[in-house]
Amino acid sequence: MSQNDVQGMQPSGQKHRMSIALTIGATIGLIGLVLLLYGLFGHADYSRSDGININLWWGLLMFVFGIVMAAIGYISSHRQATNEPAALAKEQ
Amino acid sequence: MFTLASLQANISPDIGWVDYLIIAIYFAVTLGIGLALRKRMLSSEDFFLSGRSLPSWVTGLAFVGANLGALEILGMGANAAQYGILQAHFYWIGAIPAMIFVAIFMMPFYYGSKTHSVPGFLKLRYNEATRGFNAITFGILTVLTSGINMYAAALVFNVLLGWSLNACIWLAALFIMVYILLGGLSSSIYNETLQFFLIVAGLLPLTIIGLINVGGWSGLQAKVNNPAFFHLWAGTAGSNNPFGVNFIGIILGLGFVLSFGYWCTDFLVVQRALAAEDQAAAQRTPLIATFPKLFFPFLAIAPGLVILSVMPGLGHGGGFNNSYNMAIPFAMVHYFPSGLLGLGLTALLASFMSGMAGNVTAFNTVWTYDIYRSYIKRDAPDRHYLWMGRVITVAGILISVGTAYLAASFNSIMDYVQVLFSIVNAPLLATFLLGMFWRRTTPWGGFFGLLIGTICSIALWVMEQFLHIFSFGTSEGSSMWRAFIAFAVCFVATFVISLFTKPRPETELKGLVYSLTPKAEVVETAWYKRPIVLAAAAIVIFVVLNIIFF
Repeated sequence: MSQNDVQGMQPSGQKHRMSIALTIGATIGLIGLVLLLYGLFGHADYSRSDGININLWWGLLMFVFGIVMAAIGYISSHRQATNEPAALAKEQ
Repeated sequence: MFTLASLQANISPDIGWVDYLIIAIYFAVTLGIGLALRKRMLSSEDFFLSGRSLPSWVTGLAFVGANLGALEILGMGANAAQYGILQAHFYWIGAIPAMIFVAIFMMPFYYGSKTHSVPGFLKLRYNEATRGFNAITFGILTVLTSGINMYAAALVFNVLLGWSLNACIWLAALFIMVYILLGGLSSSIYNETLQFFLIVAGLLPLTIIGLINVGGWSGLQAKVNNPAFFHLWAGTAGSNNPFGVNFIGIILGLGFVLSFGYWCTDFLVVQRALAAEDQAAAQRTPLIATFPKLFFPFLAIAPGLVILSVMPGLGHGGGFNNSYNMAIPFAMVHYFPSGLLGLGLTALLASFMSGMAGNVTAFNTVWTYDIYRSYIKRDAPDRHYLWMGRVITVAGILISVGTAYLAASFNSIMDYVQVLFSIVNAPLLATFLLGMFWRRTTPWGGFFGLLIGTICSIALWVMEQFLHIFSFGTSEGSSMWRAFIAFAVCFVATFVISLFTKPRPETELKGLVYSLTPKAEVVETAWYKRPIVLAAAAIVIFVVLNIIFF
């Protein structure tokens, strides 16, 4: 029943985790950028959204959010990588 | 396709290349995540439980993301159009207490016992028979739910964009197959986390534009012109409210049996917490999930109500194409210009995908560990089970395609889900509560109690639905009552049988029963990470919201 024989992957978790914030942040930022550019240069039917250029503003918001999230993910994964040996020693 | 609805409002989509570009970005990222994870899938634990290495914010968002499948996204808009703000009960009283309970009281047992699944836990606490029974009923539940998700997804894209139903179903199946085969549970969890952000990004502008369009909250109240739609509890002294159930029914049926049954015993959500990096993170998982859950009604209710003012004919005949289920998809098409529409469709797609993928990953774990390894091939090397996990993923998805066509033959897919749920999860809750909090509960008491409770629920359903012997009223009320009776029957049967059968020795129950388990000494250094702080914050917000919308 116990799964002790397959727990050798534990340490890889650390690097794993931060790449999530980076990936998701980058995805949101990219979609935001597409919307932002389309809002600036494209021709959409804004009468639907009460005359607001929602692509521009929502795209901008998503772009900023995505960049911040990706940056936090990137920075902490770097900090994690340098502190890894110390952190592991503390855990045990 | 559009005739009925298009008479009432502009719901022909303003769709262009940019929308397809955004959808393509989502698909590319999802496959990329699967490819990147492929190298890490070395052992069966990596594939089935993400190597138990994920941080709590990821498992927490995945916990709520796995719950936000196609049916929930469509359902929350549908219910808002049907019941108004009363629908928030599903998110507040119907979720928050149960999520806090599972975090504080049950997670230590689930995670601490090192089990790989909910049926696995049942074997540790009860016996092989109980585990086998639950593995089979849960397996059936997941493939059926996964098929319904697939069908609902295909239907939405069929109605909105005119894609063929068959093409939608097979395309979704193929895509999910590839990314689970590559990345296992991690793929599924990463996707749920990404999907969580996409849903917020896709639904929030809908709420904002919708509210601006009708003149704010007060404008909405004036337009809907039904005060009962704007109070949570005020109309619930009797059953003369949109729900048709009084406050006792809401608290017991929804707040207790349905929600505790789902959040505490459904392996689909519990599996997300089991993938957490340590016990403290596993405990935090449902607690972190409570916060998005608390605020989700704001994303769902406004669009659901706003679209009612635009399309008053919604929900009055015309099949699925004009049912309340289409409230959110129609609202998107109506309010979103090209560009944002791509984001909205991506959010819907992501929720359908993760709803299916969540079921498939739970199914492959339960099949491989609780059925295949226990009864078919016992002592194979780990590699073999990893291989089996991949084979059964393909099989599970093919079965889901079959059940998708099966779901197509049902009138209301939402009712169908509630029926499944009252049969599988409701009695199981009694088995769990007795097992975890009463040490005298015996293995055979657990097994026969669960068996009797499940059979009783099926019998009630058949008698009401097909033999028409009695009726519990509306479909919502009917499932609530059936769930409650099944729970009570299982509880009493387990209790009585336990009194006459032999319990397990107490030494075997350490770590499985509350009173026999020493308090965990997990010391959290950061105060904001402590379960009690998170739980208290969630309760305060919960109470405040209930008072504001009383």
